Amino acid sequence: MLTFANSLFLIALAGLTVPVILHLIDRELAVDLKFPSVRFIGKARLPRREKRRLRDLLLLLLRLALFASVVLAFAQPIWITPQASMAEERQLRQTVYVVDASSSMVGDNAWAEAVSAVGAEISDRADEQAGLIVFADKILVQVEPSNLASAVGEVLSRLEPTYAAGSPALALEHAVRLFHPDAKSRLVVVSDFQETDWQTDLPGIPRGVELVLLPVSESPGSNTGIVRVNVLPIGNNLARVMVSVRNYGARKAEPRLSLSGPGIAQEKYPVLEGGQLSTVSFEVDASESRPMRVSLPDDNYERDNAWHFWVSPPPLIRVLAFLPHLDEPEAIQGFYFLQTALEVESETDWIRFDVTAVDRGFFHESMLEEAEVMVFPATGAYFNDDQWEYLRSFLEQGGTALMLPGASFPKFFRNLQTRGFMQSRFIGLAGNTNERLEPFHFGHISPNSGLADVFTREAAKDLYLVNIYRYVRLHLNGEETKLLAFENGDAALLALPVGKGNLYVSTFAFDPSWTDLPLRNSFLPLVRELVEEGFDLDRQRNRLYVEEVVQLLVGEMDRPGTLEVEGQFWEINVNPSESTLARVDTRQWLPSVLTGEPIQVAQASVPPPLGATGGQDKPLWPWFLMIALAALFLESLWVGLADPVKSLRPGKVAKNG
Amino acid sequence: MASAYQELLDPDYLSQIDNYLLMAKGAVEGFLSGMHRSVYHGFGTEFLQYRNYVPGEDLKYLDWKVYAKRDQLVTKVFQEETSMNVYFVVDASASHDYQGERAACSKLRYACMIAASLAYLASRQGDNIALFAYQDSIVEAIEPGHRSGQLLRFLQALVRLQPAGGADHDGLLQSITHHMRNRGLVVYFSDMLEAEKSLPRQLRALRFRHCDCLAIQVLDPDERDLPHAYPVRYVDSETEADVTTFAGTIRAQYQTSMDAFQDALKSAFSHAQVEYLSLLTTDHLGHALGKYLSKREAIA
Repeated sequence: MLTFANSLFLIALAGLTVPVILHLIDRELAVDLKFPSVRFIGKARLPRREKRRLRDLLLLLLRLALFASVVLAFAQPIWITPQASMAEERQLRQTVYVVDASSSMVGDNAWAEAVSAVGAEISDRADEQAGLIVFADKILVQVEPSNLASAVGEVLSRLEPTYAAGSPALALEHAVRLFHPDAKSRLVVVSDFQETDWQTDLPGIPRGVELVLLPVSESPGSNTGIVRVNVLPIGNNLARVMVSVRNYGARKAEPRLSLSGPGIAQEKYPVLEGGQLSTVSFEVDASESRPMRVSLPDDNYERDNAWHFWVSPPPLIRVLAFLPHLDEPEAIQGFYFLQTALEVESETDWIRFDVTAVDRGFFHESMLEEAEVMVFPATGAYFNDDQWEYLRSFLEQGGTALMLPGASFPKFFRNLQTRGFMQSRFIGLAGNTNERLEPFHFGHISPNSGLADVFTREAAKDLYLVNIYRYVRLHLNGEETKLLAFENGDAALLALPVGKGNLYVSTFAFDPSWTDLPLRNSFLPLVRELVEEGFDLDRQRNRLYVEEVVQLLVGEMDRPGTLEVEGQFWEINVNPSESTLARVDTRQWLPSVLTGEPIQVAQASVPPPLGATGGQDKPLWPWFLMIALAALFLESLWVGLADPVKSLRPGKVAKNG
Repeated sequence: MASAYQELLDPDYLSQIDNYLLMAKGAVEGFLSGMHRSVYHGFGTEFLQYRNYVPGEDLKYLDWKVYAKRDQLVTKVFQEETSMNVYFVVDASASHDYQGERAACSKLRYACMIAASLAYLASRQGDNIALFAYQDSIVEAIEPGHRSGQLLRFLQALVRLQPAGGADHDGLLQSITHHMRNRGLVVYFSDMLEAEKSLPRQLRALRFRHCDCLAIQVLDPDERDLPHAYPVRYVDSETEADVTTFAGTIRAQYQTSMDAFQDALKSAFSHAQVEYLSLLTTDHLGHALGKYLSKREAIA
């Protein structure tokens, strides 16, 4: 069957009448010619073309074919094979229901609406085969299309929304594959179409599949939720609980925020404008570890109304330092400065490091699980091939490493380049003695790094006064980030992302022969911030979302709450990404994204089927384009050979006429 | 051999030679070499050159001394001693600008090529040559002469000719008549359009000046058969009058009128005892050269 994607272009076919009319009324134009004498030349009626020459009629047909081919090519004709109509005759019809079971579907009675909508659809289409896919962050249930349509409803009624965020792309891909090639296919998507889930890369729905979008919870009303809780020590065995609360609705809200725990109960009433994110703080006793909870009153989406957390210091961060020992004894001195800075304890900083120094020979695969942070003072120059791979493996799994140059700095930096850790090229050494009269200074801190937050105003002055006597010059041409740079723009500290982890490389050693940095006040915050920069403190504190708990197999916890396992404190909460009330446009935007069709203002909520059947579509416009080109070529050839005006020698026409 | 010299007289070939002297020399020498079987020897008594004897030639021209010395039969060619004035009159009106698809050159160019060839031939034979070219009035005039440079002046005047305007036949003939004091030959070039009644009568008047006349009509083949297969607005070159028509419809009538015109012209010239030659621009130059030599020999 022939159909057109842009049928409006067919109106242009009316233009075919123009050359026909011209042809009918056309008389050949007389050519001016200067002639010696017109004495014996009498007047005569000019003949009409179609009466005189058959070739003009053929030329007309050629031009009509050219014009019609161009118009038809623009109209994008599509041939749908008869296979589809055969399927239609057999009445093989399949509907696959794709149902969203992400956490947001629990709110505003959305899940019940979804189950009811699917049930109504199934009962209306009892003669069709029905299939089902239920999804959240992955596909939860998949039922292939069958005549047992009622089974779909039963499966759906036994399910309930998960705590995970929605990921519809995978579900849509699987749903399309469930259709039989000869079936008349119908895809029904039931969801609240939350922006955070649906504004992602979505797969295209084939033309032959009828797409129906059934939005539920279209007007969810208001929602206020807890986004995050941080606990900071403030000294005197006290801690400050910082609660971030967001009003997702458009109207002003003043909810009651309650803090509760063993022996503690506090309340506050933050005023939140529409869309506002606000932080509310509580002060609590931190003399001993205890689980606590902040909560909001019930609203349309209950799951983000409570947050569970521990008031306790986070676990120690294990740091392993691999020392060169006999190879470079001067590097040991620099390490001791580093160790001292990391092991300092403070009442106002709960983050503590446990630094262990071992010989570089112990850097082995078995050590990768033993630490969260690794330090390599001058050790990189002595790595063998295996050790470089251990380092890569450690970083790719999310580890943090700090590498410092030593006496063999050329070999160290060339190894970094050749092993693919960085693209920058080693140039040489700037400065070669600590007696240099004008030492180098830092001149620039990357505004995107945590260092920029720490070194502000007075703190920054001390950092900029640090003397660096020599450093390794690099020619940066990769994606490395300069966390810290010298006044002349050369890199001082580089951040090299590797997998999930980060490798920090200093272009100078931390010993007094290279710099006086370890003797400065800036050294301690610089080192600690640097190590914490690439460190996932939430992971360290065992803060998880509900859907992550299953993956980690921590205890039996599959609901929000707090948990203590083998001396470690776990906090499990609901992902706040499901709290938003914003919905994607299911009338225009989403259908256009899924079907690839242009947005039409007047489109109904349920778009019409794009193809009548599930047959093979063959676009015919390339054929029409080829016909047009062939007609154009023949027409040009014909006119060039047959036009009487051109058959005159141009020079002679000009001379005589 | 015959085809070679025919080729040398082909207008298609000759019209490609810009230099009239070279063209005329090539045409005349080619023509004469093709005539070695003829009895043409020149008209004077002054020896000019030898050429191979051809059986049938008059034995009185054989050089017996050469035969005795070399055992080779050669014929003596003589140059005329008594000169004659040859007046070339060329109509350079706008109608001579026409060049049809089949012609290699315009009518004026064709007339000039013939005039140049005849002038070269006449000069070679020692005749005085003169040129009068006219349109609405005389545009070029070279008095008779045979001194060195006369031929060059003649040819340069031909080069300068550009077709334009009308053709005042009466005024021209009245103007040049008083130049003709001696016995001579007038070679007249024109398309003679619309002058079939007056022109023969006027040329006849030249006989009273002891001048013979050779009237050469130059026409383009298109003027004979009107070959255009498409509608044309014909614009008269001289009067700017125009007629829009389709040649296929009127061709037969046109050809009839043209034939009648030619017949009338031929009859009028015959009656006026003026030699008449009608040429198309596709005809090779041998016709004109032969006619001229025939006429010249008759006068001698």
